[in-house]
Amino acid sequence: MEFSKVYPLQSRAQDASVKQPKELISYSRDIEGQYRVDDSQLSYFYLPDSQLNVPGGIDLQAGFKDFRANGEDFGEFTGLLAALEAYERKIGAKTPANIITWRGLMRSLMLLPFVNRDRIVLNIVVFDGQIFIQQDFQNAREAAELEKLTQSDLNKRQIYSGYKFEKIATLSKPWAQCSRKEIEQRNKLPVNNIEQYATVVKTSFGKTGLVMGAEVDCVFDYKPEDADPLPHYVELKTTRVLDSPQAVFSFENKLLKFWAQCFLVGIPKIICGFRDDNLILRTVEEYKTEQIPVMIKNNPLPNRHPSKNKFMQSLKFFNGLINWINETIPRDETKTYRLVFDPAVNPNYLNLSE
Amino acid sequence: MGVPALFRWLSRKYPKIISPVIEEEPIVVGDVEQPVQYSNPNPNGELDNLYLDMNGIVHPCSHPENKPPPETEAEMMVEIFRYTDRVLNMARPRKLLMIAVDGVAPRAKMNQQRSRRFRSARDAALAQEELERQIQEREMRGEEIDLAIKGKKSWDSNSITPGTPFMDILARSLRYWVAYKLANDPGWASLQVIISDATVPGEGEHKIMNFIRSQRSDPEYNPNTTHCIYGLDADLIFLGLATHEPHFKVLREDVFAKDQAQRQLKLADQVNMDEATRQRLLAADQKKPFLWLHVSILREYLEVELNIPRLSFNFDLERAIDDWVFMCFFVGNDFLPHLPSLDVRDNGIDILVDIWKRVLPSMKDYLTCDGKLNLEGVETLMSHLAQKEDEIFRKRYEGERRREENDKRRKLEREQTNAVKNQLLKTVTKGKEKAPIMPTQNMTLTSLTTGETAGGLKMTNSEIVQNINTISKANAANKNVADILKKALFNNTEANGNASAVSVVKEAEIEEQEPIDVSEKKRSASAAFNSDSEQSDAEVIDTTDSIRLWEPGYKTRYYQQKFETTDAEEIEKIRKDMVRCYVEGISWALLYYFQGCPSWNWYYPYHYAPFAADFTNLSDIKVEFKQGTPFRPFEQLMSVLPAASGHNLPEVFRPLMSEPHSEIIDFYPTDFKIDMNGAKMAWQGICLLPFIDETRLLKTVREKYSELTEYEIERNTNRNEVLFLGRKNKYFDKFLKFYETKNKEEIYIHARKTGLAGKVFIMDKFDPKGTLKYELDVATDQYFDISNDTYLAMEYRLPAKVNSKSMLLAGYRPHLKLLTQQDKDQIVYSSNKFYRNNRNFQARNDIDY
Ligand SMILES: [Mg+2]
Repeated sequence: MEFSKVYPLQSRAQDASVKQPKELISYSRDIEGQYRVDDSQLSYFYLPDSQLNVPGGIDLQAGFKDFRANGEDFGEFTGLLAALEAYERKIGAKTPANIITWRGLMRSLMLLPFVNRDRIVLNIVVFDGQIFIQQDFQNAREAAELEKLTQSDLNKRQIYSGYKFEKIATLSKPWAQCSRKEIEQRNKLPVNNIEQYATVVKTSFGKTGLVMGAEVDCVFDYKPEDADPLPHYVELKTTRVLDSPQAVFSFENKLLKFWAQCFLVGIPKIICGFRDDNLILRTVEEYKTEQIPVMIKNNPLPNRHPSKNKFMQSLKFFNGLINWINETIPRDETKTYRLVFDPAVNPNYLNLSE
Repeated sequence: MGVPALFRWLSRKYPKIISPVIEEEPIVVGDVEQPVQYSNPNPNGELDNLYLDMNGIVHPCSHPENKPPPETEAEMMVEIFRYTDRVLNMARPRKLLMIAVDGVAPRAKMNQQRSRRFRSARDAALAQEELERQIQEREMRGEEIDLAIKGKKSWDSNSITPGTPFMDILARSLRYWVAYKLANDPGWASLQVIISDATVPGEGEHKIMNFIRSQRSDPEYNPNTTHCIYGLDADLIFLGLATHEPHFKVLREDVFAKDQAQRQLKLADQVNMDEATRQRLLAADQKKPFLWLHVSILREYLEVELNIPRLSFNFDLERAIDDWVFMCFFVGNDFLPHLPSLDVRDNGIDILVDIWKRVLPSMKDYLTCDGKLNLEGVETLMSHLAQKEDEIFRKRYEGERRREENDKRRKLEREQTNAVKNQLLKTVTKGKEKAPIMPTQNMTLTSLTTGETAGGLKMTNSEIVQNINTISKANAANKNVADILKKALFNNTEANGNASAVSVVKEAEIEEQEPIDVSEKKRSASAAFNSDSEQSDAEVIDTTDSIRLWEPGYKTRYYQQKFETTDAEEIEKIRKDMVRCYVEGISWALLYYFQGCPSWNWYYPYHYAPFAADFTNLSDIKVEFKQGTPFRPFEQLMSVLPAASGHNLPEVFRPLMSEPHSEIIDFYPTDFKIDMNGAKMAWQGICLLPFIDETRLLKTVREKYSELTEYEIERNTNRNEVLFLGRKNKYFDKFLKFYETKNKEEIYIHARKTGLAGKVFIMDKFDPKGTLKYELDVATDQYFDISNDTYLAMEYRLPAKVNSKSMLLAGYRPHLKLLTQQDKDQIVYSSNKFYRNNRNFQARNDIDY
């Protein structure tokens, strides 16, 4: 009989227990796309007011033409597995986890009850008793190609503005080691999305131990040598200025995404650059991940779609789902399983099959 | 920086930068005084790091200006302990205390040190003569003079120079006191203390700057660290700004309270002093109020003051502040004479800032960048100043003429007043001679019919007349008249002390009506040699009248007279070289402020400055510095001390300063000219001492090194900072283990744990099982020997020097802004009126702190 199960989006776990995430190891990808298990691509946040004081403001589409985009990357495991291997060699034991995957995939699962426009197809394999969850490349490639076709020039520039903001808000070395020139001329550097720094984080939801790889934008201050670095990491975001109640509501939904993304791997801080329609950076705000739920709860504006409980709801949904996957997947290394969410077919269930 | 009037100028212009220190008083239970608890919350707000520019404590504690000095050097130490303890209880740093004593200074500073020390030796000799004359006089009248007083010599304050036995005693005493506090004060238990004594090269405040810069370069440094620096130098404010640490304040005595209240005591005064007066002066001294100067609020003011709307480049407050600091020290610093047209008392800073604001929009960049000068910008600034130079000199001259006439008028009035006093005021019994009378002033606060003042004090008409000035003063300052009058009548000293800098803007208005000018008193007290002293070895000259800066052709006359030549070619050569050296000088000073000493050997080789108009073709000048090495302590002593202070040096050196056949005898003239250069106060004149020839001096001094004793060799060695820790410090156990296992590893600590970064390792001479003896010969039940297991001493090195950048750090949280719109408007629209006439103010500037 063929293996096939469904999981309802309405389902919520009783148990919402989450363990504080911890970094196991980190790694980098250089401009050539090569992975190395070190901190060479770690960036340092630095954006004083004086840098924002440019007459006319900072143009986040400057240098758009020189953007060097990464080719296909739908979440290959190369870097992550190399880092895990190095970690296991260091501690002399196997990574203690039931599931190994990407943070981004977990975020989309977590928000399924509230944000469910796109089709999700995940491949699941078992190796040495551990479950690996990866995006289905075929599906991802099709989605990406479709998106390319429908993408306007403005869309491309908006996406670029996000990378640009990361460039002007960070330094490649600690502040003290940078020359003034390096700091002041950052806005002239070419932008790419190839170089990246990633962390490998261990956490657990209920009884399921989870190891996730996640890209990290920068450290806020420094990366400590003998303590967990996660509390020092920052997620950088850009978004349109909030100039209407409508914009505020849609920003609340964005905050939910930001929150899930950071919460999953224990990143405590989000720094958001607000840009106008001309992609000029207007203001920069800092949000604490743990305070986002409180902040939205306290928003005095009436909301048509109250997001008040979304945080707890997502968490309970995810907890149930991830434990269900862990319990349901047979430890059979010869098989590949698929977890599919297809809003066109059934918006209320996830489907898990061989 | 040694700009005498600068502190006052700043606090007048930006009144909210100062606030009084809230000082907790010890609680007395029964007969027992409960000391102030350091560990309690600080009523002034909490502080992380306190830096003591220690010379600002050593000077007033060893030779106080307005109370009798301690009898012995050991007593001075105990006095230093007491004073430092008081400062510590006000500031209560929770993380770190740094004690920095001046070590050997860069050569650029030594010229000034030398001139101060030569002058101080000469002043001391004069004071001694005066004392002996008085004793003689009284003995002739048949009075019996205490032998102790008779044999008394004033203590040589020149001992406060690195390498002297006194500085060695000071270093040992400071180590003892720090250990004592760490071991015994629960509030200190987790504190870390860095001692940078006189054996560590560098001026105290600049060693502190190096430390702060080094901490900022540590990636784990907390950008919201709160800093406070204690010291008496006005340039601490600029140094505070120059750190670009926004949570910064300066702690110091309220100099205004002191200026007004306490007369400077001369050695001779002690002959006549009775025990009651002595006690009263000591008590008054203990209660001297302290002030905070908030650099954070000054930054708020400067943000308004320096704002320029249309620039061709980004407005960056940090860079603008650096330019401002640069302009401030252009007007006066310890390394260069100021330009003839720039004087803080003529609002030289305002003049420069006005020009700066006008020219910056047409410039490509700021004047300075992280301590580097933009010479093109400097030339632009100077060319604009040059256009105003003639007018500045003319106005200054007119102002002086007016003042002279006023002085004459006042003198006349005073004579009249005395006549009135003698005739009419015989009914008033107390305070007669001290109460000033000014019949020409009106008395708005008194009812003429009842004689009742606003404060409710009833006076007779004659008493009103007698106290009219005090009434007017109170009126102007809006103070409680009764209070002031009572004090004026019964205790003159305190009345003035009441008027502190906290109400300094009001004070400013008073100053001009004051019939008896404080500065005038000082003039007669300290400028004895100016007129009536034949014993003086110095020839005092003033070429002001012959140069006539206020009349055309002054430039030629200036150079001709200052350099004693009429040869146009030679003058041109000197002028050019002077400009080149001056440009080097401002470059040196700027780097010194923002990056640390750029050269230990560079100095400005002239006694005078060029005119602004001389600053042309600056782009031809190449400025480069060789780092060099600091002098050894005895080499500096030989460079700055006069022969009269030779007792501070090992015996082998003394003949070099006094024997006619000494190869360097020309460095120690017993008579030298003083050029008043238009100034009024003796200490403002320029000592025309010969400059030291470094090569010849070092050669001669070093030839004697083989004859030094072991103790002297000890004293002649430059060393490093040391670190002391309390038992509850997070590193205590770890470092103790280093001693136990004799682990000599140098470990690098980052700021995260205790806020301190740097290299630490064990000290050869420290034994955690030993004891530290109380060595001072002063009987006390407070101090005793300390067991070394109650604290730890370690070697400490600053994090490696990196290029410093004038920027705020990421993660800095601004303080709540204090300035109101009204405050800001005042800055924008002020017409500089309340500090226009600043020339009357004379604060001493003859001690290097
Ligand atoms: Mg000093």
